[in-house]
Amino acid sequence: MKDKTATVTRVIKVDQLARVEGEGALYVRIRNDVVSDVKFRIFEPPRLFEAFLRGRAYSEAPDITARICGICPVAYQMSAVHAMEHALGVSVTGALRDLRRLLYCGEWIESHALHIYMLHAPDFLGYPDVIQMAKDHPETVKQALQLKKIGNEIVRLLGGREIHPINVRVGGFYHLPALADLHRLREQLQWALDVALETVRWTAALPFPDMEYDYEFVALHHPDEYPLNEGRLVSSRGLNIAIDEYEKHFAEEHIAHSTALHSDLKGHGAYFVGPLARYNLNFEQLSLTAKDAAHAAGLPTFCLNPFKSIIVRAVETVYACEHAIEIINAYEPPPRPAVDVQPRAGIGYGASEAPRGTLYHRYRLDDRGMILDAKIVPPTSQNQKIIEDDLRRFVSANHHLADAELTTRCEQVIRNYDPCISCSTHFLRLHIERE
Amino acid sequence: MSAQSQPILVVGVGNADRGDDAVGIAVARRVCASAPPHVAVHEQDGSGGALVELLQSALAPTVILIDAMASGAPPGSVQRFEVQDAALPASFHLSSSHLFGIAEGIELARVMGWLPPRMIVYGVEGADYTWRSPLSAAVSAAVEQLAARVGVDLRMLTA
Repeated sequence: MKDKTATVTRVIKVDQLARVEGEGALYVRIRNDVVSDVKFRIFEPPRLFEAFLRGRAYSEAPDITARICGICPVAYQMSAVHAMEHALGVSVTGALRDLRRLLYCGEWIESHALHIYMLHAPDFLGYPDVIQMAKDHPETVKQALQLKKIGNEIVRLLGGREIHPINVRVGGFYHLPALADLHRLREQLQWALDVALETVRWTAALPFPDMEYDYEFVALHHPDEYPLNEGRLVSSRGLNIAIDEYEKHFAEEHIAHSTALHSDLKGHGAYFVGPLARYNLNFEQLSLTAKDAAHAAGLPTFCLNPFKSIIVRAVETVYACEHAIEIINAYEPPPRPAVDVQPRAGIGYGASEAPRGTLYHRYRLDDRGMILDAKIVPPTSQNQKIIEDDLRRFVSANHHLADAELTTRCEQVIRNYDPCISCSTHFLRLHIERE
Repeated sequence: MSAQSQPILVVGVGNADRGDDAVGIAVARRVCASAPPHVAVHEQDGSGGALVELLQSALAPTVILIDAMASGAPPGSVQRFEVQDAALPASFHLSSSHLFGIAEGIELARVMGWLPPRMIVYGVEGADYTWRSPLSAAVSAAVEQLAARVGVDLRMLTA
């Protein structure tokens, strides 16, 4: 046992992770080279939104929940409309369903381009931020901004505006896009597909820390398509459930150090949602182009290194660009922008794949279609435990690093998950306490 | 009229529902009410990415941007920066809860060569950023004065 006077405690502390979605903090304590405490705290407002939704009409849920996140409003809208349509016995098929997937592709493209290039790549290349990276890689950053802009264009065209879209409704859309606008978009998407393929090659050449872990991955799974809007919820350890069984298998619990609820897969513990989980559980559903890009980049079909999520995001961007082009090619305007919806009492469940993971919604409606209660489980909330576990493992294996380097690496570990607070992690401040 | 054909761009930045963070929006709306036709007025939420996109696509030779700031100066006081010459001071970053805010957007635009030849940034010192609260009295009093000052800028820049 070490002399008490020789005890050395290092504390990695993030005081403020302020963002649109709320506030968070990171605290890691290392005592005598052993990680003694890890707390990753997120304060998210969805619980307030659940209360806001009570007493509102079913039809308002897509617009209200879109306000939860400025980065992935489409995901909130999609989970909301699917849950409402489940409750109201409505099925949206054909071209309307395809347009929803196209809208979702736009969100994936813009969100993944932002995260890959602007937030995550600087970590790998040793830059403090994308501004410094742009000095050495101006063409790369220019391409990234253009790629993101094309994603934004899809959301603007289908959603009515880039942030907090307003054109999504239960049953379909308020307005259908003009064919000429879709065809203009297709030209841009051809360029975006080439850039996305280049992005796979570029990310695959980054230096990756050697860290693998046998996670339990959870994602939607659909037999015929890479999951965006629909599917069963499956895991890498055998879970295979319908969305309406979610709450039988997943539990949220309050953790003293955070106002955000932590999620557990009952009887299993922490689980991993997001692009890496989607990819590992749905590789066969990727397009041939995306599969080939992954193979050529040396990415295994089941990847256990969370740092390589940056390559997976690039592969998913390839898929999203190609799928968007396919949808536009096949598009024939439906007779009406939405199917009829009649309110009735019931409970509806919906889940879709936000850029950063599975997003679950559940609503209970009265006979006028007014919301009696709502439950929303965002992906970042679900990944909190895994992020804490990764930080614990990473710091344990790398405690020899100097404080500044260790802090930077901890930020990178957090950004592997592209949490909604990702950009705020740059505010990390490291404090050393010596006892 | 689109921004592409406008020689001067006025950008009001902030969150209209967050107390004094709304000052940039308030000033932009005042300016917009009496802006000459060659001036395009935009409102933004403080995202540096959106600002970079606007600067890249607008190709305006002159941009005037108004945002809240927190430098410790008396509430309502106004500071003027010519950012084509130098980066905004660090205190400007505090008014945004985003990492990639206005100051970072301006620096990225500078690195990418998209900064206009002239870009004036007005920072208005805020006092209260409470959600759903109105502009504080000091900042509210500054809105009219700053809108008039921007109006003078516009006249001089186009004279």
